[in-house]
Amino acid sequence: MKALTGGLLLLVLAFLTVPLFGLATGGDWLHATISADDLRAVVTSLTGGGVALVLIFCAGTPLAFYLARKRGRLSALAEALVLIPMLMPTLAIGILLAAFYGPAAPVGAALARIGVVLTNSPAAFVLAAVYAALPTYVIAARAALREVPPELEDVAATLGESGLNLFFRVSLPLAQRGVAAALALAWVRAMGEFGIVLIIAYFPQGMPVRLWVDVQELGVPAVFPLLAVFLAAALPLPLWLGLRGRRAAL
Amino acid sequence: MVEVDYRLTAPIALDVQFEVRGFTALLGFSGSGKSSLLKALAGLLPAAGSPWAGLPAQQRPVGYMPQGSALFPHLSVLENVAFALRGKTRLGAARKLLDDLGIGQLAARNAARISGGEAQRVALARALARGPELLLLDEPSAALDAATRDAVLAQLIESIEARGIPALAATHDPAMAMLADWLVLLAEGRIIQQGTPRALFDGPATVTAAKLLGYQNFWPEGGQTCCIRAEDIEIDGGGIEAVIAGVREQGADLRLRCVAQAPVTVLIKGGEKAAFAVGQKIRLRFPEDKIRLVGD
Repeated sequence: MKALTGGLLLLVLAFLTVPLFGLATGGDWLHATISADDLRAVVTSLTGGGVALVLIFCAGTPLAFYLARKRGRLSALAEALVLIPMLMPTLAIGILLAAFYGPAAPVGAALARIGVVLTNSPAAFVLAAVYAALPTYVIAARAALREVPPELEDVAATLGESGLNLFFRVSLPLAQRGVAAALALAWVRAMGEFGIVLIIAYFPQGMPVRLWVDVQELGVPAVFPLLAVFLAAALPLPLWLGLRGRRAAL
Repeated sequence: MVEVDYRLTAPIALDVQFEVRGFTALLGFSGSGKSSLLKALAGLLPAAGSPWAGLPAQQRPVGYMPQGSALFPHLSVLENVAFALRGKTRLGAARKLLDDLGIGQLAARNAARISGGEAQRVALARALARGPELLLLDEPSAALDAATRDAVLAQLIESIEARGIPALAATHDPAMAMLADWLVLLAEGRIIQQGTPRALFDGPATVTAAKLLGYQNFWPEGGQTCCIRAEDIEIDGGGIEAVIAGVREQGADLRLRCVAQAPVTVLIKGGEKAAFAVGQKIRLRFPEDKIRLVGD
């Protein structure tokens, strides 16, 4: 029985990791290169993703804290509103965003008049990343903040601390591993986002769209250098934070 | 001395008036609202009354020590104590507090990695740092090892009294209440009795007060209720006849469950289990001077 479950375990793990072997065997590493467009895509993804992550932390953390501390109809409604974009297919979000922020829509047109163009612009790329990753961050950070014992916040209040100071001195440090893991998850979502950007931020091209274009034009073997950069940007940080969080839990 | 007059509506309805004199124990059953009252005094629950009602927790001159000490586990012991302090001298002041309480050697330790008794002294140092006018302690004996509990508590009370700061300690433990200077009994949303522990243990006013103070035997007599402690009943001849229904060792003592006209619990100091058996008939004597008359 033990051998059977052990074998099954190995099989599942192997199934999950075999695609990585494609990195060594599937690419045309000798002839493939990274083009200037590819490099621009890397820069777009990293800077756009970085800006989005800062916005996600600033906007999502208070919401996550509210959801972690309040239990009522209003917070249940707020949670449902966070879950809706998370559960929606990203392509659908992209189309809805185009209909709302696009140049033909009232909001999009009004923003364009003050110089904020939210289709096919760096701002649109950030917008897409935020829509893709904010709900994931809020739900994960809420779980981390809920683990902070409320009596520690109570004690901090009786010791004269309140508001933002209390949050940054007590709540956030105590939830830091979970919040970091939530940021890592958000980073993965932002880096990998394809459906939304395809509709509202095809340009400037980030790594996923660039990979898609390269595959269409050059074939699968030619895109491996960019694919490797893509994986290197998206994977190590979350993997490290995930393992670190697991060690702390053990 | 601090005079408290507080009214709460949620999470439990309380309307209480009492005094805090020296180290005061607030004795009540679980769920009677002791913790809620402490939180209200600390400004963590809404309440009406005096003192300080309406002030936010941050502005109250109160040191609050919740159950289990609640040290910040991400900070060192020294940083915990310095939490409420500001300016360049904060760490020095915190170190002095630790030294004064005899725990200076803990300063660099991680607050999550010290014993329950040590954590409690650190929590006291942290609460003292703001110079409170009243200390609030929620079940201070709860997180302590049974073996060192009494010594640690006695030391804690001594440290508090040495500073002359009034303290209110919520507890459900009559043994802890006996260590206090002043005792306040909370039941049914109000204060049912207050006084020195000796006066209260000797003269509970009601059945509920007597139960809170550890009286176990009650019986009606002439329209009133009498009560006596299990350890005050004598079995050396005379008295009423009873049948033993249960025998149980309790540390070095022996607890007998007996049936007379009513169930009676007897505690025999240093009693030998072999001398008693279930079904055996014995005679129980209730010394007149140990029987208390209480109201309903």
